[in-house]
Parts: sequence; structure tokens; C-alpha cells
Amino acid sequence: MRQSSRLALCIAMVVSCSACGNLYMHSDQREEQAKQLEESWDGVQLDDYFSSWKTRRADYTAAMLHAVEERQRAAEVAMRAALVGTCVAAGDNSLARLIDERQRSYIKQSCKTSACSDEMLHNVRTLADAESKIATDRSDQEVLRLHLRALGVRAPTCAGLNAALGEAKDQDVVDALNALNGQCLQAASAERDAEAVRTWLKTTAASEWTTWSKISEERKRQKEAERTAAESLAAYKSALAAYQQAVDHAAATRETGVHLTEATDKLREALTAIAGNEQAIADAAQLRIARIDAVLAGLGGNRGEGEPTSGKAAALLFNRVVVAASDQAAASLSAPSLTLKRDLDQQQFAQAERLLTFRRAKIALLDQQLRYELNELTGLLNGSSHLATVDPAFSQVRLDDVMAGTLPREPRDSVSTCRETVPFHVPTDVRSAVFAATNNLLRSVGRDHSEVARVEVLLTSLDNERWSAEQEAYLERHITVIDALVGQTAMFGRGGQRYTDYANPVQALLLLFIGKGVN
Amino acid sequence: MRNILVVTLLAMVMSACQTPPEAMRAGEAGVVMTSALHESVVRYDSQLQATLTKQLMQLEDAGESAGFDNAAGEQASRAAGQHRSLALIAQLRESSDLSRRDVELGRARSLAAQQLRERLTAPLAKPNDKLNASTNAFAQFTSELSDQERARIAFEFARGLYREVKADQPATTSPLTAVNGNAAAKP
Repeated sequence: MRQSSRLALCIAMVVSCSACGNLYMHSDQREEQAKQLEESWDGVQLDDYFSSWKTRRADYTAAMLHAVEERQRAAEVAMRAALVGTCVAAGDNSLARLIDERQRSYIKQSCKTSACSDEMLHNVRTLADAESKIATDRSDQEVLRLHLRALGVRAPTCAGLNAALGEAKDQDVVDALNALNGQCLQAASAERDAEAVRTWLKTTAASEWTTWSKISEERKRQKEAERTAAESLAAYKSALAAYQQAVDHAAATRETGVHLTEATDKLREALTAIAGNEQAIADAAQLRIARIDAVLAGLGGNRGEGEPTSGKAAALLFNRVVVAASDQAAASLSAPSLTLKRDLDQQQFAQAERLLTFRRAKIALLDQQLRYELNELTGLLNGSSHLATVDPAFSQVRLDDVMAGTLPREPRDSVSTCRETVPFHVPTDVRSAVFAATNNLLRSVGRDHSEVARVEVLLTSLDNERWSAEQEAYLERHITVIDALVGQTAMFGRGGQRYTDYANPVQALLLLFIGKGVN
Repeated sequence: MRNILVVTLLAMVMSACQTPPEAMRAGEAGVVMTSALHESVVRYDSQLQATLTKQLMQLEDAGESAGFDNAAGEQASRAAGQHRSLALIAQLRESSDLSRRDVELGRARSLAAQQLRERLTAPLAKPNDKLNASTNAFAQFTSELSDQERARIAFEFARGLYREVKADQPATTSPLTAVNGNAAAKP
């Protein structure tokens, strides 16, 4: 009897010391290894590294924006210089030719097909004419309204003209109102023309104009993503419910057969369908986070933060499907594992949200770019329109002479191909039209194009930021997992039963043994 | 009693040589994961370096082009001095002043560009050495395993945990370094 009780005690101690996972002997060497591991991992500071790259990207973008500004200003200077000695409209380097060439090269660069080029030029010209006409009509309307006020009557808006005409008695007032009516009708007609072109631009030209087609594609993709996000999320929820039923059934019947495999496959398919759709990824991640939170709450609210992950539980958990298992199955896993899974899902959710923000920012920038491109083109076309009003007698006159307002009596040099045998006086309307056309060309080369180029730099920068954000999120997922592994390994290294833990009991046993010997 | 003590000490010695399987798995997982992270960091770094190199060339092109246009503008505006067109000459003089000022500032600007290049291309403190140290530290926990056992654990790991992380791996090539990629600004 005594022998058997000794044997039982021996076995119990052997089991307690070696067989049970947590009751292993402490090792100073392992502790040192754990310390080295923690120290080396603490030194891996990816946040600092990422932020260094971010600063570099920002520095580059700032330098590029500055260079773009400088380059456009220099291009304007060069264009000003190129205009010296040129004719108004005759010859290869005339103002008219420079404007025309820039228009054509702009259209060629922005359009995908030559058919688009011709039609686009015609339509944007119509738009420019209409907008110019609207501006002139509005300015004339304001003059007439001032006149009406001077006559002592209220100046009506275009919409209130009929009522004002009905009330007017004085002939001067009636004449002024009729003139105003004429301006309003012209402005309305020009507005209709402009609107027709805008509609054409939005519909037909959308696929031909490079920037417009990029916007259309982005918008289409966004709409499609919004539509499929709802569909694929619904499919995911349904597959999730079916999977849960299959798990419950398997638990009740102790059968893990075809039914469960099919449900698992369907759930995997639903997850695959979500891939690439940021909105659906964010929604599905939120769903999983809520589910994990519910399970954690069921475990007593202990999320086990800072605790290492159980390797066994982690191996099970790191299949996304497992989180979809029944609450009982999930609850059998340890809280730290769930916390780790939750962290990964939270990262995935944040990343999907970031990508959605990038997509929206890209559309906003493309919108800006299109607006600036049309501004630039409209400015050039307006320049052409101004030149079209100039008396052809001045087309072969030097540009700088027209601007000076007087013409030389004799040729000054043999370089200029412009004829200088035209009127000796330049009418004001000719001067102002040539001035306006020149300014339009210079603004197009300088300020307007600078805005287009600036947006292009920002778009490139956005693409780079998006790519970097994707890579960094991917690396951060590694870090989250390694953090847990370091914690688990370090805890093992530091833990274990120490000899000192046994010193007192062993000493007590020895004393008993000695006491027994003495007695 | 003596038997108890002997067996107890024996068990303690035996257990001291053992590493629980979970710790081994975590150690091997750590080796795989830190190595994968190291590779990804190297890839991320080389892609960003390539992008930056390409972008710096574009930046220099833009600067050179501006310098060329400025020089052309200045030369032409000197010639324009002979003409009588007051308005255009005034505009050109203004341009010429700007251009001359730019030329005067040219040296300072090129120095600034050089400093920017140096700042942007200076080697960054990469976490590679520390990552290598972490991989080695993890490996110490699995040093008792045979190669075969390590391969088995790594395979199991790849099927589970690593696959979870790899699921969201984005395109590794930056759009700016890809052939026919997004062209940078053409001011």
C-alpha cells in the first residue's frame, strides 16, 4: 500500500513537472534568448521608416510643384520673346498662327482620335464664342440698367421685363426696356448654345477626351463598386449564416461531412468575390469585428490585450473562415487569439477606408484638371475670336507696331516678313483686340497651363501615395502577427519553473527525512 | 522518500530539456514571418528608390527646360530693345528682369537642387539589421528541431497564418516605375 502511494506521488510529480505545457523548467539561456528577441524586435521601428519616406515624397512633390511654376513662367517669357517682330496674322510665326498651333496641339494631346480633334475644336470654339457673347450681353445689360435707373425707373431682371414693359409709359424708358429685352434674348440664345455644347461634351466627348474619359471610367468603377458592394456583402452574409448552420449541425450530430465542406467552400467564394472591392472589404471587416467583439464579450469582456497568442488557437484562427464558426466554437479559442484576429480585421477595415478616400480624391483632382484644360482651350479660342474681329488690313502688320498704336513710315529691318505699308494710325478696337488675343495666348502658356500641370503633379503624387499606403498596410499586418509571436515566445523564455521555486519544499522534505533518520 | 526525491529531480532535469511545442511553433512562425517582412521591406524600399530616381530626373528636366526658356526669353528681349512697341517692350523688360534675376539666382537654385537630391537620396536607416537579429532570435527557439520538422511547421504555418496575411498583398510594382506607367507631369 505504502509502495503504491509512493509510486502514485512520483508519477504525479513527473507529470506535473514535464508533461504539462506550462510547467516546464526555467532556463537562463532561454531567458537570455527571449531578451535578445524582444530587444531586436523593439529596434524594428517601421513607423519611423515609413514616415521618412513620406517626408521624402512630400519634399519631392513640393519641389516638382515649384519647378512646374518656374517652367510655366519661363515658357511665358519665351513666348513673349517669340512674339517680337511677328505679324498679327500673316506668316508662319504670326500671333494668329501661334494661337492656332497651340489650340491644335492641345486638342491633339487631349483627344484620343482625330475625329474628336476636329469636332472638339468646333464645339469648344462654339462654347467659347457663346461664353464670350454671354459676357458681352451681360455687360451691355448692366449699361442699360444704369440708363434705366438714370431715367428714374427700376431696372428689371430679364425675367421681370414683360411686367416692366407693361407698366412703362415714357418712350425713353420703353426704348431702353426693349433694348434690354433684345440683350436678354441674345444672352438666352447664347446660353442655350453653350448648354448644348456642354451636354455634347459630357456625353459624346466624354469617351474621346482623355481626362474626361478617365473621370468617366473612375466614376463608372465607383458606381459599379457601390452596386457590387451591396450584392457581395449580402452574399457573404448569407454564406456566413449557412456556414453557421452547418457548423451547428456538425456539432449536434458529430458529423463533419459534405454539408460542412460545401458551406465552407461557399463562404470562401463569397470572400473571394469581395476581394478588390474596398467598400465590401470594409463592410465585411466591420461585420467580423462586431462578431469577434460579441464573442469576446461572451468570454467576460477580457480581450487579453498584451497577452501572447496561443499558437494552437492562432493556427486555427488564421483562417478567416473560422471566425465565422458558431459562437461555441469561437469561444473555445483563447481571448488573445481573437484579439489578434480583431486587430488584423481592424487594419483591413482602416486600409479599405483609406483606399476609398484615395479614389474620391482622384476623381476630385481629375475634375479640376478637366476644368483647367477647358479654361486653357477656351482662352485660346477666345484669342482667335478676338483676332477674327481685326480688320484684315492689319494682318500683315507687326504686332509690336499695332500695340504701340503708330506705324513706321519706312521698313526698319530686313528680318521681319511683315509688310509695313498699311495705315499709319491703328484704331483703338484693333489695338484692344490684338492686346486681348496676345494676353489670352500668354495666359494659356503661363497661368492656365501651370494649373493643368500642377494637377498632373498632384495626380502622380496621389498614385504614389496610394501604392505606398497599400504596401505599408501589408507590412503592418506582418508586424501585428510578429508582435503576437514575440510576446508568446518571450513569455515562454521568461517563464518556467525555477530551481529556487523548489528549494524550500525540497529543504523541508530533507529535514523530515533527516528527522526520521534521527528518530 | 529518497525515491521520491530522485524521481522528482529526474523529472525536473528531463523537463528542462524540453521546449513546449507551442513555443517551437511560435519560434518557427517568427522565423518565417520576420524573413517575409524583411523581403517585403527590401522590395518596398527598392521600388520607392526607383520611383524617386525617375522623379528626380523629371524634376531636373523641368528645371533645365525652365532655364532654357528663360535664356531664350532674355536673349530675345534684348533684341526687342530696338523696337518701339512700348507695351510689349514693357512686358518683355519685365520678363527680362525676371529672367536675369533667375540667371543670377541660377547658381543658388542649382545648389538647392543638388541639396534636395542629396537629401532625398541619402541612405535611410532601414530596419533590416534589427529584422535579421529578430529572425535569428526566433530561430534560437527552434534550434532543437530537425530541418524536416521545421519544414513541416513552416508548411502548416503557410497554410494558416501566413496565408491570412498574404491574402491582401498588393501589387509589388509601383505604378510610377512600371513600363508605360503613369507618366509624370509634362509641364
